[in-house]
Amino acid sequence: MSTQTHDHVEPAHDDQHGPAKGLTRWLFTTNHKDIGTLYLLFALVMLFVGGAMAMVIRLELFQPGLQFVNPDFYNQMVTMHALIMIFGMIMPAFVGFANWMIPLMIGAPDMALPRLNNWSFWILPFASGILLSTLFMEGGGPAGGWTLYPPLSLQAGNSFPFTIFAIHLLGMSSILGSINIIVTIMNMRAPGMSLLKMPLFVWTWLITAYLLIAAMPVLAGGVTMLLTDQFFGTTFFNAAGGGDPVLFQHIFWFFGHPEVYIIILPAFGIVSQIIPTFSRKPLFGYAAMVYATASIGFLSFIVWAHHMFTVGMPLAGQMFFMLSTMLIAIPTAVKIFNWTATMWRGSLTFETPMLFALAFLFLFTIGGFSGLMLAIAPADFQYHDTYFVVAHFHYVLVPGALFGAIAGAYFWLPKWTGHMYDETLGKIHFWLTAISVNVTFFPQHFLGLAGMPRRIPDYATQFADWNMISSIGSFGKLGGVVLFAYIVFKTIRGGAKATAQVWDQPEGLEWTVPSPAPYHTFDEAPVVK
Amino acid sequence: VTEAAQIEEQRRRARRVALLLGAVALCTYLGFILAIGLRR
Repeated sequence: MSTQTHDHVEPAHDDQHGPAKGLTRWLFTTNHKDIGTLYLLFALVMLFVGGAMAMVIRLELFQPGLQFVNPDFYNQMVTMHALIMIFGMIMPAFVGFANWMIPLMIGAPDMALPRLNNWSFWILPFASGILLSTLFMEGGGPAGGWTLYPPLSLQAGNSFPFTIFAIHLLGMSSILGSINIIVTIMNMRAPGMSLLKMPLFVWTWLITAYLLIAAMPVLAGGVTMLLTDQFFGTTFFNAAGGGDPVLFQHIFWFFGHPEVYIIILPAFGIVSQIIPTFSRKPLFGYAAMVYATASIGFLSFIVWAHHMFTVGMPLAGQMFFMLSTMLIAIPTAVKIFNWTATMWRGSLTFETPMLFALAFLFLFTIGGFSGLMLAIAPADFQYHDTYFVVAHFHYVLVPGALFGAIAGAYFWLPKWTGHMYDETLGKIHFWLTAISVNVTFFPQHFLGLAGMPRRIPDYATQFADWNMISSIGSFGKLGGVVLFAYIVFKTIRGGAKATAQVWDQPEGLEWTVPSPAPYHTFDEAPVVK
Repeated sequence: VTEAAQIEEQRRRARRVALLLGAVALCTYLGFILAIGLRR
């Protein structure tokens, strides 16, 4: 890693100004910090919306039989929970981190294309609004799962074109945001900040942004073809007209698997900033971490069909996708071992960001191992479409991606707000969340191995006990989310003053500016040695 | 070169690369649909 020196200089230009007053500040802002805040607050709101849907699901599954909702609405909740959490919550959250931190980390005064940045954000609430509005349409919202497989997804009611439109808009927002991130990193770095001196968070986002630009248009193409099949008489995915529904699965997962890494790589980046800080050591194997991230990005494009072993693909295809999937374990293990080696003989302290980063390390690894189990083609025939898969991807996405985001929020909240968060409440939040996440998702492995299918509102009585435990865990998780929102707003409103460095000798340009970071930073480029 | 001029030059380069990346994304989108459509 690089060492940097920077004496913060107050803006010398007379065209520097503070934020506008009132609502216009947020509507028309081109400031990366404002837009980062908007993304993060939007993600927090969506966490509650998607979380409420998860609560409906877990309430219904608390006991066997139909208690609260009818099966069709249950399917809508399953579908919308996934779409909202992925496109409305976790992706915007990481774009929020990127907006706030990348310019600060590379010594740039702002994103390269500030107006495009504003537009990228403001597409999001409208797209999410359109998606949510489908729940109130005749026939309800999409209910065929977030994978939108035809012909099931084509049986939706009036909501179908709105869902497709919303997905296009959400994808457009992501692509525009990614373009902005790439050109910012490639063009706006401070003098002396070579690529291999960039913080790992910046590296992971650079690779993520390329993945997004490569993967998102493929999803857009796929759902456009769904739309033309439904309304314009094409038969891309209709066997009656010479099409093939399995083709959609290939297209979807060609997007869908890189999407998994799009979600997790920024979390890797955040953890790579936190572990060295609280170990008081530089990151072990910086260059290896960069190359491992790039390898994961590349491999993510050649593993997609492990999601569809059961469609009847040739044995050679199964072998290829099984082995290529297992190959991802190698660069991922490089990361896990390097984080562990960073902590080795470090002066460790366990503040809340470090606790979440450590939980990420342990629990994401569990998700990774169950992924390896699913990658074994013959075994996957047993696991496919069971709750084992649900357990696997929730271990990757919740204690993986979401814990990474929460760790990052605690880590940088003092820099954003100028106040320290309440450490006691932070630790209570950590333990409540870490315990409840495991109580929720670990039993789902047992349910899946015992044969409980996913996406069903009712189940056989032998699955009752573990489902009840899983639901109880999810209620604890809801408490954790409410507590987190309380801590965030309490920190925004006040608390002990944060210093510029916030933590003990952290490394990076972001810690050279005061806390809270001034509205305009790095009007004069810092010196990076 | 003043600081402001340097930043403006960086932004100009960024706009050119952004247009290129946008074109790549659009071509992937349309090319994908056309490639599959024409194959059938």
